[in-house]
Amino acid sequence: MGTSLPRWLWLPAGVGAAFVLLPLVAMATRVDWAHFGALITTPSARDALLLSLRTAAASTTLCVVLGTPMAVVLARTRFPGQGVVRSLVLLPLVLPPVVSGIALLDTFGRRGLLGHTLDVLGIEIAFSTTAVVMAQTFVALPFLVIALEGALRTAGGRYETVAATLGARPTTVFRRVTLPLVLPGLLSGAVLAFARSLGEFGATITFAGALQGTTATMPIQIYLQRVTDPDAAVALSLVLVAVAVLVIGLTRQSRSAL
Amino acid sequence: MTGPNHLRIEARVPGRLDAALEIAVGETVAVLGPNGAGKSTLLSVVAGLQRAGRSRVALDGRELAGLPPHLRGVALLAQDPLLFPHLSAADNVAFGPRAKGVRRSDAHRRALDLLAQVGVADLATRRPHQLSGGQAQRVAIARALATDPDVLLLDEPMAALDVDVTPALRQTLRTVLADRTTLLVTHDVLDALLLADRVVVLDSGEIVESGTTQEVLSRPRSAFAARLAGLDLLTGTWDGEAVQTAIGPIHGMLDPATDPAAHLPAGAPATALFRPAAVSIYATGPDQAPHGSPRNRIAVTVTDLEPLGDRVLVRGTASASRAAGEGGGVLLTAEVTPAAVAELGLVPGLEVTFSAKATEVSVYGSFKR
Repeated sequence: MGTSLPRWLWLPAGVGAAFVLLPLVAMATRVDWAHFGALITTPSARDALLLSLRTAAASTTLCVVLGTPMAVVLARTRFPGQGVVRSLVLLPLVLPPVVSGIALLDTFGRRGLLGHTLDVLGIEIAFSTTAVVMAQTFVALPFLVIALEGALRTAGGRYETVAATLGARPTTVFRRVTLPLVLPGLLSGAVLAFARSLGEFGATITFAGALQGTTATMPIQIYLQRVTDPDAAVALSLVLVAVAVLVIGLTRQSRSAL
Repeated sequence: MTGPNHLRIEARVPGRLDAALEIAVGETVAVLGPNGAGKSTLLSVVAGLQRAGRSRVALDGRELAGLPPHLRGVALLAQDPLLFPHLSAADNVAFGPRAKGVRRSDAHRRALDLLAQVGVADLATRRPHQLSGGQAQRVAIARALATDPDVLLLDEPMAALDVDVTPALRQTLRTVLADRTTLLVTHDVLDALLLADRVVVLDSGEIVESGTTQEVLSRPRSAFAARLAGLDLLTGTWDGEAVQTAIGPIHGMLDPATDPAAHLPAGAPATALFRPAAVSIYATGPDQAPHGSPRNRIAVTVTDLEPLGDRVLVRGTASASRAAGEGGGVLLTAEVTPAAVAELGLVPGLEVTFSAKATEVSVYGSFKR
């Protein structure tokens, strides 16, 4: 193993690793540990953390419910213009989040494309918790679709063919063969989507604003407190780092378990 | 069983397959043929796994061609067992019955029964990754049988297995296929001999030969079946005295078994067939001409030597020198003693003469479709 690796490769690899890890260490050194507990349990911090977890869970659920069929359709069927559709669906992945927020506002905002219709129905979305979930779903959906489509392509359609010749209806095949086979891919896709939702900032603040308890998620709260209460911002940041590490650990475990 | 289910197949996939065949209730038909002949396509058409063009598949009068795979009652067993990796062996077998709404406990009992039938009752709780190739294929057989299919399709079921497990598995298949309507794609002559009632030889998407297994293997009319049966076969046109082939005239005895009147009109397509043991090998040279009864002399380039018990199989390519332009060459095999190999200094690349007495060569009219 590694016998043919050029030795100089270690240098840029080390620099890269240090570049990623050093800021985290630096941040940890800036934490006011004496007041850490108090800083992360203020009402605004608690509201932000709970809101973040609630909305990220909701948007992850939405991503799974909508993204799984999308991935299956993209991986298992062929239709004209499929390449274009795939690229467009994955667009939020490369779009600046602020732009995504403006696009959502132009669609669901009061003066947006569907704004009038929604108004008539008595539904107001922009600057609500619903808007937070929608912004997060919008940016996180491609992560789930990409991960799951890859898993579906790797698994191939041969087991599904066998299941069909054994008399299983398409729905049965999907439920008892397709889904179990790509479960690891679905899980890691869901974790990626959750992490992306948790970190969402640009689209959320544009489309949903920054109202404490309603739309001010952790990243937004951190951004706002950075000016008024830097110590609180650093403490909350560390909480997000901890959640992120937890998420990565869970993904690794779910991968090795299956 | 499920009662009469006579299967009639007209498989027409433009550019790939144009074959019609029928399978009687409980009959096993082996489909033989070279790679790319369309054997697997034929199975796909019957199973409903590919767009079948103008194909028709009728089972006991019921047209299947428009039906999706899961409504056809046709189970497919491939080279690769393809057991569902997330289910135990028993759950794999129970999958079909469960999908059709059989109660869990009943499906499980049926699965255990079938696993016992194919000799792996003790592996019921194993996951596929804990099974050997042969064990997995046995479970796959049980899974295919579990739905009690009207037709069983086998696509080279033993091709991916170790040589030492195939005889036992073949024996198992022989038992379970006994009263099942089965279409078996294979390239193994033993599969055809031991499992099939009838043989169909497919080449370039068309059926070039068909008959009982014994008929086809003892009197092959296609080069492929001849090679399977270990016989030498040359095709050409009967001119009244000999079969004019791409490599020259071949003299032989008109075969009364296939042509009772021993009458073959001149100009008719004909086949000359002989056993490799009937071939003698001579060094090529003007002074080496054998004398005596009429003999066929064929210039051959040795390609390959293979020991066979106390004999040696010498394979060679007959060059089409006398009919220039006939691309390729005809593969022929001679069976000689190791002493002859040493005496002639046979090595791949050597030019020699294959010789066969006319009395050892059977000539009969070629298969007509």
